[in-house]
Amino acid sequence: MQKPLSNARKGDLCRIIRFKDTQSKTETMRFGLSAGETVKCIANVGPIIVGKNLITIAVGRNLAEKIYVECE
Amino acid sequence: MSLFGCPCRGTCKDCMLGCANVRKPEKNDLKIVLAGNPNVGKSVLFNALSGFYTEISNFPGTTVDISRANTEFGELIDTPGAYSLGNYSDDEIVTREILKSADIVVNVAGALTLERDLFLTQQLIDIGFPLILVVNQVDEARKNGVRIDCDLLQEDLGIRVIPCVATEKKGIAELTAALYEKDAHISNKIIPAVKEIRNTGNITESLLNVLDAEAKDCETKDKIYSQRKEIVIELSKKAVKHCGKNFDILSIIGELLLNPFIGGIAALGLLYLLFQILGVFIAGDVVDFIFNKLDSVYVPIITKIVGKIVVFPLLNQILAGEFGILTMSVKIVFGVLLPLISAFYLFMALLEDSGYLPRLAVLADNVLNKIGLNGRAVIPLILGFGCGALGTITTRILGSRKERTIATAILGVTIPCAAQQGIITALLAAIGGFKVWLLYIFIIFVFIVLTGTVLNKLLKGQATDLLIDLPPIRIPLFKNIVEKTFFRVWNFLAEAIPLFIISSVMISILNFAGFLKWLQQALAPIVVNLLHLPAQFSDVFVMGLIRRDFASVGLLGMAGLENSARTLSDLQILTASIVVTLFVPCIAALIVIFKERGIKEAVILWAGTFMISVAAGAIVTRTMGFLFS
Repeated sequence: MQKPLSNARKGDLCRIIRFKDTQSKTETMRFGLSAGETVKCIANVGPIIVGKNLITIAVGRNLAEKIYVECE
Repeated sequence: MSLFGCPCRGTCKDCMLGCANVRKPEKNDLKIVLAGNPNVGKSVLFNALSGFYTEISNFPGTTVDISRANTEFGELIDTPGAYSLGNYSDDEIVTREILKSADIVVNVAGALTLERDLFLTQQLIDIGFPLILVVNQVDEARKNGVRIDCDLLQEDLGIRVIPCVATEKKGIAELTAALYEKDAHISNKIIPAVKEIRNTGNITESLLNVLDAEAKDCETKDKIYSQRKEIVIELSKKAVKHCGKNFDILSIIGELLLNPFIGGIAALGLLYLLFQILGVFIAGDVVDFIFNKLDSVYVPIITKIVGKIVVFPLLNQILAGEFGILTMSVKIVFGVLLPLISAFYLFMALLEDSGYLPRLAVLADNVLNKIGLNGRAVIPLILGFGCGALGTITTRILGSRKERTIATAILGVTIPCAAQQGIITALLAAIGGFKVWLLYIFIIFVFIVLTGTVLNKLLKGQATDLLIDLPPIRIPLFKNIVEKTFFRVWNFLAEAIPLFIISSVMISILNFAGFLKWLQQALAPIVVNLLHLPAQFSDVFVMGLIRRDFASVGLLGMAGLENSARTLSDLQILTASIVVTLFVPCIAALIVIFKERGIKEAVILWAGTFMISVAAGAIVTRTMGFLFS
């Protein structure tokens, strides 16, 4: 089920499905995240910390609300 | 090779670094620009290429500092780290401006984060720069089970790719050789979307064309970015191999620091340590020691010497009077700022290079979001409790103009520096009682929130969303820390000293003309009528402008400390404490605010702070009387 990344829980593997607007899409793309990729939620402490291989990124809550993911 | 005028004509590789700094720049020099994402070791590479003779300068219109060096193969220019070239931040705008004049671009990518970093590489290829790609930190990547096929990258990207470990100078010789031979190629592996747009004849125009297209509308940008991303994903799948990761204590620490509880305790511990070392030890003991030595040994000697040579009274005052260039300026710059700035930059370098800073920002993000700031603002605000001037300089790390203004205002208006805390602690102790302390802290807290909230509403623009890279926790290299600190301190002094000389001249003239005396008298009605304080308190105002410590002299006496008879009531002491806390920044802080934020904001902030402090004092003295009845 799709949900915003801001609702992800620690340990979740989240596949990025879509972005709410193109601005949030292009902004996160620069940081190496784009639709179709799977990231691991390392922590959710307000900002969401996601990891992919050796890249770790902190995504502010406002931005995380605009990123829709499917988690397992 | 004779083109470069090197005595050995570039024949011996060993001398390349040795003779790199001998020559003065010429106008037709090749411009070599280093560009890359943040945290990939770009500065270390810059230092390895440039030797020691680096010039750091402020980029016009911004607070971004850039380094330049003249080397044997051309003028080397560093740029701030950027994830792409766009209009996302000051850093990226500066990088774009510098790239406009680039002849060769050396793109530095991190081996650990290559999948992400290649996005910028592809953008640089799309624009059409003669490019060399340096893949740095290959040793750290190997430790983490990442192998990178540089030959394959070289073939697929159509440019020279050099693996490197800049901290150990591995790969530097290859890079220097490549720069000598101008082994930078314009790749034709561009994405379809920019084929029509770019201009192969003129690189500046091509840069503008591609970036304009990206900025034109969301759809075009989306198309370009998506095509770019697709190529990068394909390429990283082939060239980057992940094999199992080794057990690594540092990465576990990195993860623990993000846990709200453990990370929170670690952050509080660190901030306490920072406050103790910077705020108490350096700002207190060390500054007091140097300042007093200057005051008791250096000042009498210099005053005597100047008195003998310069007889003309105004000139004498400007040079060695109470606020003179050789007296006050020397005392503040070397007695106060130098120790504080050195200690502070050392700390910052440690926090930066260890990778801790972004983790602290993550934890503080929630709270600071409410007052128009994001997590990164935690650093300048905490440092402000040590010294306001220091905190204000640190607002540089914030992402947008708006955030820098809000943080500077909060520092200027409310946060009491170590010197203020000293006076206030003494004053409040004279009244005694826990409730006075609580009330005091409550009032200060209200003003922090008010300042942040009001400015957040008033100023245009939004706080930037927190989106930061969390680099792995590393053990900082001693040499890098020292170099970084040294360059920054040097740079700060070079900029601050002229400002101090100017302000010394101005204040001396004002004092000589009797303006400061006049000001004391002019302020007296405000003090007596609005604040219900004795007229002598206006001395505190005038002296407090110069340095907070000076303000305490008369005040503590009035409060019955220092063996004097107490002349102030409890309510008057509380009022005085609030006014002293909220009162205008001292001269050192004001100069830094002026330097960082420009004259307009400095004047508004100064005047606003003055009014706020008087208004707050007037309200407290009229409403809090019940506490002491």
